Amino acid sequence: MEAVRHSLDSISTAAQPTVERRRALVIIGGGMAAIRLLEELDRYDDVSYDVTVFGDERHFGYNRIQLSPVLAGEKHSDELALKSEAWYQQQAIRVLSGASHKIVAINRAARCVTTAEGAVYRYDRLVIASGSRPALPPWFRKVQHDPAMMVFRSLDDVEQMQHFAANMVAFDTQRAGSVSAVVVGAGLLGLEAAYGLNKLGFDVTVVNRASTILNRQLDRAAAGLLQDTLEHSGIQFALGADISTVELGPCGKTSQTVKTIDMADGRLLTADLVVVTIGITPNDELGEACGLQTSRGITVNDCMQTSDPAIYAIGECVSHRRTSFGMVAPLYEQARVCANHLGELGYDFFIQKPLSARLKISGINLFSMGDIAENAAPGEVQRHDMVLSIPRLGVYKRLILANGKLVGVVLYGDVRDAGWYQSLIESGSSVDAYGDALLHGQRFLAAA
Amino acid sequence: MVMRYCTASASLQRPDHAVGASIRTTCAYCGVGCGVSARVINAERREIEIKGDTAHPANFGRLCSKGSALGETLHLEGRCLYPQIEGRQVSWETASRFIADRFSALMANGGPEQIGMYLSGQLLTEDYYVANKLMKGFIGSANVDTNSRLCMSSAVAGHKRTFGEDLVPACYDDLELADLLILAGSNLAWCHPVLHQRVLAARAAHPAKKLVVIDPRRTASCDAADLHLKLRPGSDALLFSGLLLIMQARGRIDKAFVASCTQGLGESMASASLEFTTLLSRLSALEAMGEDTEARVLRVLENYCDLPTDQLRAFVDLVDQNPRMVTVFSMGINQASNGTDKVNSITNLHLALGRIGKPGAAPFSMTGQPNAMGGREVGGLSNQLAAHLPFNEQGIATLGEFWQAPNMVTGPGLAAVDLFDAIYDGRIKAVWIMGTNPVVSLPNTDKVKEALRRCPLVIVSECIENSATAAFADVLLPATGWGEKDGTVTNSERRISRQRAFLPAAGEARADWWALSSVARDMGFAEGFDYHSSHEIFSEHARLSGFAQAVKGLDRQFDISRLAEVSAEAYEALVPLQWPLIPLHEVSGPSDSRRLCNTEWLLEHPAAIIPLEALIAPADAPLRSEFRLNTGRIRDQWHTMTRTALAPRLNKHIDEPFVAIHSSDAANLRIQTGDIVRLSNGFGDAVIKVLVNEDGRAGELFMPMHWSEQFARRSGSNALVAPLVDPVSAQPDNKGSLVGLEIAGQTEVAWRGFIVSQQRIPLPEMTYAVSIRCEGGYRLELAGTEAQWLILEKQLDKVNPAPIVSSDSFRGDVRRLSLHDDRLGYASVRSRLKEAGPSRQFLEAALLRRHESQEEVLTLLAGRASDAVDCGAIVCACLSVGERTLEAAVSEGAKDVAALSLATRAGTNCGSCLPELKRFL
Repeated sequence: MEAVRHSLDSISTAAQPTVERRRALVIIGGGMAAIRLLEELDRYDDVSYDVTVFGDERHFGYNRIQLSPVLAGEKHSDELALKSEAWYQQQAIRVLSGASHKIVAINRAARCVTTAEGAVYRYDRLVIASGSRPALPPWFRKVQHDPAMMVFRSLDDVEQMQHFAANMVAFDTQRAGSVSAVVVGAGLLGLEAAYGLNKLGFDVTVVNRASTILNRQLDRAAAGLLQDTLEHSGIQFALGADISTVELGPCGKTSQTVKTIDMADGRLLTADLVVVTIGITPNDELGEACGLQTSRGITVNDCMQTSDPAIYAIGECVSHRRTSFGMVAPLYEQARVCANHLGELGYDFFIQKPLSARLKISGINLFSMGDIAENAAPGEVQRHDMVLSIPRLGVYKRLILANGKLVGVVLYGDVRDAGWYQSLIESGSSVDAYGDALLHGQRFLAAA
Repeated sequence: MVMRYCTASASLQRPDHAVGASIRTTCAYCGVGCGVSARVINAERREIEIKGDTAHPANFGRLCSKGSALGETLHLEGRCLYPQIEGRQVSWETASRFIADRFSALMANGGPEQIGMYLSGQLLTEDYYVANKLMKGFIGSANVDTNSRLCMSSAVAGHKRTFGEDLVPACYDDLELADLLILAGSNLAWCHPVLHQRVLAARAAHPAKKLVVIDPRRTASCDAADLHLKLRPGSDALLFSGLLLIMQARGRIDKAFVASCTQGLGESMASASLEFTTLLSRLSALEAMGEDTEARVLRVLENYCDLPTDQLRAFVDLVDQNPRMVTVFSMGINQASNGTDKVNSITNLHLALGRIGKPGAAPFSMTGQPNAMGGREVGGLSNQLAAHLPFNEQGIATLGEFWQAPNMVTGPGLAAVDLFDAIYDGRIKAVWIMGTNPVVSLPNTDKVKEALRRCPLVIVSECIENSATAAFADVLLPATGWGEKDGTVTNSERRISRQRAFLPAAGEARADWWALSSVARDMGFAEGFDYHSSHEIFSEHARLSGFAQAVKGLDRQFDISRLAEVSAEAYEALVPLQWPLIPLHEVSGPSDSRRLCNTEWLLEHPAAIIPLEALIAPADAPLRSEFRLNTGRIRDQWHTMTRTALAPRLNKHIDEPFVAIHSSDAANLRIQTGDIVRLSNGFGDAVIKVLVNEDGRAGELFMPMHWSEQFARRSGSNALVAPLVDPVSAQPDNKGSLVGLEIAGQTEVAWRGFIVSQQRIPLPEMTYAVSIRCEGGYRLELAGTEAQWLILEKQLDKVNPAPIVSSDSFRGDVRRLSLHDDRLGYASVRSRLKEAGPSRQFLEAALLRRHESQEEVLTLLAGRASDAVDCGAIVCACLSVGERTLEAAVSEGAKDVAALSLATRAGTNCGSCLPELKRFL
């Protein structure tokens, strides 16, 4: 208690009391949700906060979605900044980023937060947008000290991989064959990592527990097409495969080690670099530690409010109606709703919508949304499929209908109508009137 | 018009040096016999330019849709190219000897009557002549008949009954000269289009001319008609007899003419009068007691012909007021169980009114085939002898003498339906079918097929290898086709025209006369069949027509003996000639001798006015659930389509078989146009699409006669036609069979659709299947069960195991495409809905193009053009915003990323493209 009091004494408040003290808004996290929240708040002119944003990464406020193109060398990291420094200044937003500004504690009673350095900041309203961290398999712990055991989450990770690649190429000119990487997990992130590493010159093998890639977003047919395309570009796949252990090889002259990967089915893989992308874990520890309700994420209501009315949470760290989020669209929506409440309008609420997915690999057009299960669960209404497949062009579309409504869609190769399907799924209206144009495309509607 | 036998100026044209020059020939199709001018553009590719022959007196340069498309039917696809025995290729020598040996064996063992021949109005006169000579003179079997039996044998019988000889009195000019033209059972507009055009032109020049159509069905010929009498089928003879009774009551009989040029009027009128009284009494119309003859006759006609009195009166008045009257009659009259009586009801009227053999006044039988008339001249029917010789002892002896024939027949043989019954029964053990498709065109086709299946030796001479009849052949002989054949044909107005060759024979195809002569020689009849050219045969035929003309009882109007002496060169250059030929010394100056049966001739050969047996066609009364089935031609197809269906543009007018039903019946049965129904009776069945209209009468159906198994799995009309024939002419009644109708169930036709393909796909086993040649390929129209479709799709997958597919299990829609080298191999579309979405036209046109881009392929699957605006390369992937859209927004004033994003929605979802938007500013 004393410590707190002490801390309180040295509070550097977000705003010095003046005639009319502005309320302090503290945002934990400098990721996409946080920045979107700042943008949204900008629309509420009548309400103003003194805003302080804490980012624990070295880089602040960048477009995480674009990490894959950066890894692949198709974009430069400079292009990722979501907002310019000038903008923050213009908005009078205090940005505090870096490991030293990592928030380590929330004091709800005192309404303040503490950074890693011990600085304390008080708030009137707090928004936790602390995001998530990569989920890690059990075997990872034993080897995670090795610099070649990586995850793919931040711009730091990307830079590290690029650095690693450059080193490998420099060191291994005399080594026969090229350098190799194993990507564990064939989700969106895993495939993007595999693609990027492949472009950096690695021999990439993707290991996935499920028998198809992108199994949560794609059906078997689309997954097959995508796999064909990726294999064509040189990426190899070990599917339906699990990793039991990873052995670190002896340290050679180089700083690099060769890893031997024991597969559950007895196969052995070797790799210079291992990247784990098997999913995300919400960063809800701050919330949990200060007594907020959590359940695999910080529990929020439809207004994005936590169990403490002064504290909101948005983004990948939240649990809304027992769901956590890994895609950008709902996160933006949450930012919008949260801003509506912080902006004292107080009427908006967050509705979960069917999620859509795209893969950020250049040359690959893929879109998936809604319920794409191959068969209806027992007791569910009869479903109908509409399928279009052009093997020679690598085009595949599948629409899933239930009760005369579009409930899911998988597009591969031709995603022109993604927006249309998205709006149809979201609106939940009958698609009967569209006839065969529903499958073949919006542009055939008028001609029908 | 000055007539000449030949023109010295006409040069010799042989097929081998014909490139570039125009060859005059005669159309392959109907009995109008239009002159055609054919110019070879590329002999190897068989590219021919077809034009109407402006000098030909039948058409003066006009051609109908079928004739114009002749050039599209000359390619070698599907042609029969070499002789086959049991499907094995053999030499002509082997085939000929095989046939000769089998024929000789039958003659020696059981007698020549076991041999039959079934010929065609498509044969040239020379082919026809040799076939009849071989059969009736050398083999000694009169069991030789022709498909003309199905076409105009009632007209032949009617002419013979009334004139003693098969004479067509009129010529085409009469159609233009007549003030009143009656089309009785003739859809001239579709079946003889060029003549119809001549009629329309004459009416345009003289608007007072009247046109009356008598037909139970509203046809295209009614469009220009002043009056359409939509009478009850089979009541034509009653109508014409009633007309005659009224004319008599009005005192319009040409008494002087009747007295000097006819016989039998009194007896005929008495019998008609009695018949009408009987019919009237059945009506129990007491109020008719006090009425005059005209009113009483009209009362009968109104009831039995089912026509309104005002229409009947109008018709009577037109007949009364227009002595220059021509009655054109065709299949609606001839194809009836009382066909001969119908024909004579027309000739009776014309004779009694003296309207015959005069300009613009005559009954006029229009024949269906290009050489039906030529067949009649050489005695193609089993009850005819060559050159109009009477089929009696005197005629037989005379012909035997001329031919030096060892085995002259002794009397008429079997007519078509009986001929095939005899094959079925095993009385005939070998049949040679030439240039016709009896398994499609005869009534009760299922029995005809069974007959051919049973027959120990079936010989088929054909141009088309997969014709429906060729499938039954033990020996298949390749025949030359139109453009390769060389000889003469006679049209409906007795005009003999040359059909000339301008292409080399396909493969080993030979003229039918050549094949017949070869077999005859192998049978040991070398002397009678030592022919080397069609000219030699024509010359003999012409000589025979003059033979024994002076003998009492053997004089005949058909005499072209003056042509017997024409040289090979003159024959080659022969211009169209009409018989009776004008004697040489009368060649200058006008003459009406092109007409037959003028008063002068009738004075010496009085015509018979025939008392009629059956004023109403005897027919079974339909049950409540039954319909009366009428059959007929459509405009752009010919007979069993073996030739016309090769021309894509001819398949466009009406691409699928149909059954037309009156809207009131359709409403009762709750069926609509496009529904698939099954028609059936005791003879057979058909699965066919419905066309609902008001053209026919309630209770009656109409089906085109053309579709065979070659083009439709089970949609032919004649499987349903009862083998009922006219007792006099033996012509079948194709217009009055009774059929039941039921809607094809969901189990049978659950999936409907079509396939367009580059290559021909054989008709699949499916409830409904029709094949259509289109530009660039073929189209199949299909309906069947899911299992039938899956089998077909599996077969298609053998060609391309990974087709492009779109399937919609919600609406029931499966589309499959196969592309080879950016060309559409096939596109198949099936749907649970009646009409599938994609446009047939669109996909047919797609066969002709390349399809390189993804968008082109997607458009193929959609089956129609999209209204997509090309928005350029996609920048915002989430919302599909393209470069062009962004550029447009900038030019419309978007000044920064935010404004551009707001205007186009680009970057409003994931925002990934926001940095990229800068480059548009």
